[in-house]
Amino acid sequence: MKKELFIDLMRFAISQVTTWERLRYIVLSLVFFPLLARAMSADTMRGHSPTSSEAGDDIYPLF
Amino acid sequence: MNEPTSGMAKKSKIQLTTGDTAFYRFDAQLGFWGVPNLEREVTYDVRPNEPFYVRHNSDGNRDAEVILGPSEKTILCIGGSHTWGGGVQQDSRYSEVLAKRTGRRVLNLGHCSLGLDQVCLALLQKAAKYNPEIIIVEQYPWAVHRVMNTFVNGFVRSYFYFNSQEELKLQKVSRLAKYRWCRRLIGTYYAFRKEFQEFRSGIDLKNHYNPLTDPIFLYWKTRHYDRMYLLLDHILRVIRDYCNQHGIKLLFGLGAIQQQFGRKPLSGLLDYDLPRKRFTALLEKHRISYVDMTAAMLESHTPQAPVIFPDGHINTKGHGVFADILFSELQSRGWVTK
Repeated sequence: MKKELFIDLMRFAISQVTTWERLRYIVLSLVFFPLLARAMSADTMRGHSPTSSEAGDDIYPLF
Repeated sequence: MNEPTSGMAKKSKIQLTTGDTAFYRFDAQLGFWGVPNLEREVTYDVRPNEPFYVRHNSDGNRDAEVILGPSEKTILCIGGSHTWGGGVQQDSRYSEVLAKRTGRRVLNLGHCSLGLDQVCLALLQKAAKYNPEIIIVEQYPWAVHRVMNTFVNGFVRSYFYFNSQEELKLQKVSRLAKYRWCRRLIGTYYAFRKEFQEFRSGIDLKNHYNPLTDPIFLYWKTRHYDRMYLLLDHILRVIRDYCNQHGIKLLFGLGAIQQQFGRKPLSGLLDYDLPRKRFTALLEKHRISYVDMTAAMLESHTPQAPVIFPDGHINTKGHGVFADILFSELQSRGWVTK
């Protein structure tokens, strides 16, 4: 999955319009790669379709 | 027009532009909120020759100072720049017109670029102070996407997310975000992550954005927004539960989308009502009262006497229509009497 993410990031960087932006996005991709890998991993694990009720008293202590 | 008061913190004339942050400052809970005790004469980019006056009270809201009696109840309006009154004088806004119609104390907590998640947090944190009997949430249907945008106008926002147990959680704003350079650093990551997610969905808002083909209106891009609607689903439930627990009546007011005025979609796969349909489906699911302004706003709109400015914000006439519909709705529900 990390390899796929890295390839996508490079594609993303290369898709930028100017050379300067491509370079900037390559650097940002490398800097943010660990954070993005963790975020994407969490997204994949949880999916986007909860099956049970999440609202209720349990979330109110957050505030 | 509201005349300036003396003794306020700052007085100056400014040109308001899109994404202007002159009225906002860092807020540890919400990301940003209005600067208290600020007053300025503003010119708006779509009406450069017609300045309007903006004055924030000590709570940072574009409203009169709030001093309530011990058991005094209010009607509280909250929303984005339409509620704040972009381009219009304070006493022309729908909240002020509604106050005249109802004879009730109507408060305005609108702020530019406010997302529904911030509305939710603001209600949880600030509403009790204003003792509302009725809360009106103004929601511009296109602006529902703000719950996905965690870096707005140079401010990092609190945001909701789902944890690995599929529970709704709140990511609070880092304390470091009170420093501008930290906000910029955190914001750079948030903006990059959002842009990358959009890239993976085949969305390019940076180089090829056209409001007429905004991806939120495209049927074939709906999948990208599924998570957003899921978040909205849960946020609405929190707002509803808060109001139910505190005996507050809740009403959503949905505005007409700019693209719907005089334009036909370029394709059958493009629907300017798409975010509205999905949002109203969520409101109905949670049995939250709402009033849709679209038909009335479109009917009242003519090229000679429009109800919106060219950028889509409602003008003085639009605020009047908005207030009339809200008043009729509140009356028909028996929530207010004339």
